[in-house]
Amino acid sequence: MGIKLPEELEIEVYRCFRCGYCRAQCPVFKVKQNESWGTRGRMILIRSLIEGDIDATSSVLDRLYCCSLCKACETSCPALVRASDVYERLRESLVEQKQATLDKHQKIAEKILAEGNPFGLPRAERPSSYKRKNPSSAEILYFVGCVPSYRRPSIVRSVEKILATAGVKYTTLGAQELCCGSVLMRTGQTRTAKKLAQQNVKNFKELGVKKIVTVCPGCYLTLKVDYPKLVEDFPFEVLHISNFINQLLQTGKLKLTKQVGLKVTYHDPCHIGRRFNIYEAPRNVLLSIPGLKLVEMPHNRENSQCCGAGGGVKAAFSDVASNIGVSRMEEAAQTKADLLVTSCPFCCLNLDDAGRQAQLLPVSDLTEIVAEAL
Amino acid sequence: MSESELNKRLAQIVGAENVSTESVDLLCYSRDASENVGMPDIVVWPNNTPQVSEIMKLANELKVPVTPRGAGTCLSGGPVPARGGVLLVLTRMNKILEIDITNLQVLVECGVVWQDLNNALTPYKLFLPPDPASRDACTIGGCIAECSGGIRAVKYGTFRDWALGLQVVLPNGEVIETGAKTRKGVSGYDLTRLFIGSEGTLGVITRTRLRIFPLPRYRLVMSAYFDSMESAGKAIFRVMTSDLIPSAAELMDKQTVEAVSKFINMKFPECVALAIFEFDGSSLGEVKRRIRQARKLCEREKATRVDVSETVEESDRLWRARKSAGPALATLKPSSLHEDATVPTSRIPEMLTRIKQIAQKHNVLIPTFGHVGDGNLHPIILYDERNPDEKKRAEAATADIFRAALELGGTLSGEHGIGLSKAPFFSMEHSSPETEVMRKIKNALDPNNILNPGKIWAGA
Repeated sequence: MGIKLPEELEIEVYRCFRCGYCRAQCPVFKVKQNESWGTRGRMILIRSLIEGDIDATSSVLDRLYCCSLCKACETSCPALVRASDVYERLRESLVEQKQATLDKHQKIAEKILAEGNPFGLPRAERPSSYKRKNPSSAEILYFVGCVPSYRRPSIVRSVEKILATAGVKYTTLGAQELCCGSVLMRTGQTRTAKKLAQQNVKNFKELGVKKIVTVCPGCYLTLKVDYPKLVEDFPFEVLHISNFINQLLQTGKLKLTKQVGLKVTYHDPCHIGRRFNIYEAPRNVLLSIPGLKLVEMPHNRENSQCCGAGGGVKAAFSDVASNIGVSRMEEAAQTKADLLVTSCPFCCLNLDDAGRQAQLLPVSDLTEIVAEAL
Repeated sequence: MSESELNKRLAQIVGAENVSTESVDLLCYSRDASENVGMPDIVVWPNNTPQVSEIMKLANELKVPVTPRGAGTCLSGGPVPARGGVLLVLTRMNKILEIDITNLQVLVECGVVWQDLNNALTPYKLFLPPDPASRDACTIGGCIAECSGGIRAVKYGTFRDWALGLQVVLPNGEVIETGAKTRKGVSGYDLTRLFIGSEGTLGVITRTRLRIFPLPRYRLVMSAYFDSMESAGKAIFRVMTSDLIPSAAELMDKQTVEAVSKFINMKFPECVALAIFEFDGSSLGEVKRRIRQARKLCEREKATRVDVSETVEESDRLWRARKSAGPALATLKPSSLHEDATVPTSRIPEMLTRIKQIAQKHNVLIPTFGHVGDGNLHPIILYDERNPDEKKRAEAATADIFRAALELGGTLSGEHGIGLSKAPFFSMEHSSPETEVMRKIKNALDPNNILNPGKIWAGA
């Protein structure tokens, strides 16, 4: 029995006529240089899975899960195949119909269920990096996210400083905050993600907020696109921090006064870039920093190259994520920039690791450099 | 020798990490961009010419088929291993070895991607003119093996016109260098041209020396709309026989325009045919003068509307529309045959009429577009392969299109190659004595028939 996909996504698979133009885009293919690890190969494999010609063996699963869902292939696809939607839904079907998932992804789900974060670190330690704010009049929830909370607390401190300086009344969930479920949505574990969504939304409603600001593009995508499908009622406006800071600057609520005499290059995170076309807001913010010079990498905006971490790749294929990260950092180094800035804690983490490994330039989140300019 | 022994020896040549017999890899390397399928027994990624030579010696000794492959963007089944065996993936041999701006030539390994080469040439204001649609992915080796063309071939010719010399690994593993570093050369038989377009059946092309050309400073695009295919065909013929020398002359019929319009959400004026011309040159005034002349010629042939793209963005939008023609049409029916039958330029209006009649006769949809400036049409035969009767009619229509092209003095393939797709029709174009000469050449170079067997003519 073949795997079943919803009709509208099955058509996407059959529309691929194997022109191979995606070879020039897929970051995983560029590292592996093997058809089976690129978009065209995955489409051949999925078609064979649908038709029942092959089974979901571990080799097949590796190929289907080793994609960061960066959407780069979609920018060059003449048949307009929505590959990342196909992969996400296919992974869900694999989990539901074949119980086929990768051990490393399943372990993440277990950790999230146990401690509310993908690292399995104690739930109570989540707010250790920041003071919980909870004014009753707050309309805005700052959804902190797991990576800043546990892996890069300087992002949290920076956001707090920015919001306080601008006089934004906001609240946080503290130890009550749960993983948004992004990694689960990207790896087909929708049922578990739904549980998190229900609990998170219940908490949002109790706070009485209307807007939610996220720093992590993964949280942003999940809250903005997936939550309205996972829960019945989702009456919240979701904002990405880059847009939010840009608004604060434009309305004069935030002023960046301190000189930051650095030459920086900006890395577009896939989940806000190609997904939502958020390209200019983070650049406007950077250009508002006195003394800062912005230089572009050849691959920028819709042609940006993925950092390699997303879609469950860093968790299950750390070598691939690392190789892709190094190649992106090499591109950044060629601009002769002093610093790479991105607007995603997870990109930040992966590129920082890659940059250290290859002894290239340092990496900052947008919020960190903005806080420096205050 | 057992199969595992072959695999072991291949791994010794290229390293164990550069061979695969994993079924997922074999499956993904069983296809190109055509409908053909052929499963290899082993995929091998060599890194240099000596390795390719060793592989060929081994395969020749064991009489195992070898199919060379670049990026696998071929539309005729060239890199599909029809008889299994070794699939030789040449994409890791991707170094640009020399950019010689004094002599306007480059030396590249076969796996260099077309776009990467042109990106490397742009800073010198130079380019390699033949531009296949698959330019972002396709390799120079593949372009040479298939003698690729593209939109600008109408002015600049195909890869045949730009290759000066090749490094070729023969089926017995010997390495030869053909051609010379000079623009002119009549020293011995033209082996370079023998290998160009030989579809990987005579030797493995590992290096190419190519001429390059100064990049034109200006490119302007003109679109002309017509209310009959005939007047569009005549207008294009008039422009082609003038002294205006367009760098592109493309045509899209009504069905194609409508499909593209829907596919990429772009509005076009009402028309039965759309002709797109590009003119390039180093002086803007001169390019504009040629556009004005071309406009007059189109208007004389009753163009209902003529637009000139003022900006690069407008031109890019039109080219994007043209490039999405194939995929846009492919979405209309579950299956499609993408043909590239080519006729002499003067016979274009007749060929367009014939295609229309063939579509009516067999009751199938055959929208048509293509590089009409050089007579290279792309009729797309649309059908549903789940309907046996429709499939039969589509195949009959395809055969009729080939017949019509040949009757008008044309050829089966302008730029996609014969491969597996058109091998059954080969004898319609080539006489037995002519095919026999080809067979003898093949046999002289590859007596054991191990290199890309099953391609070009039936029974190969």
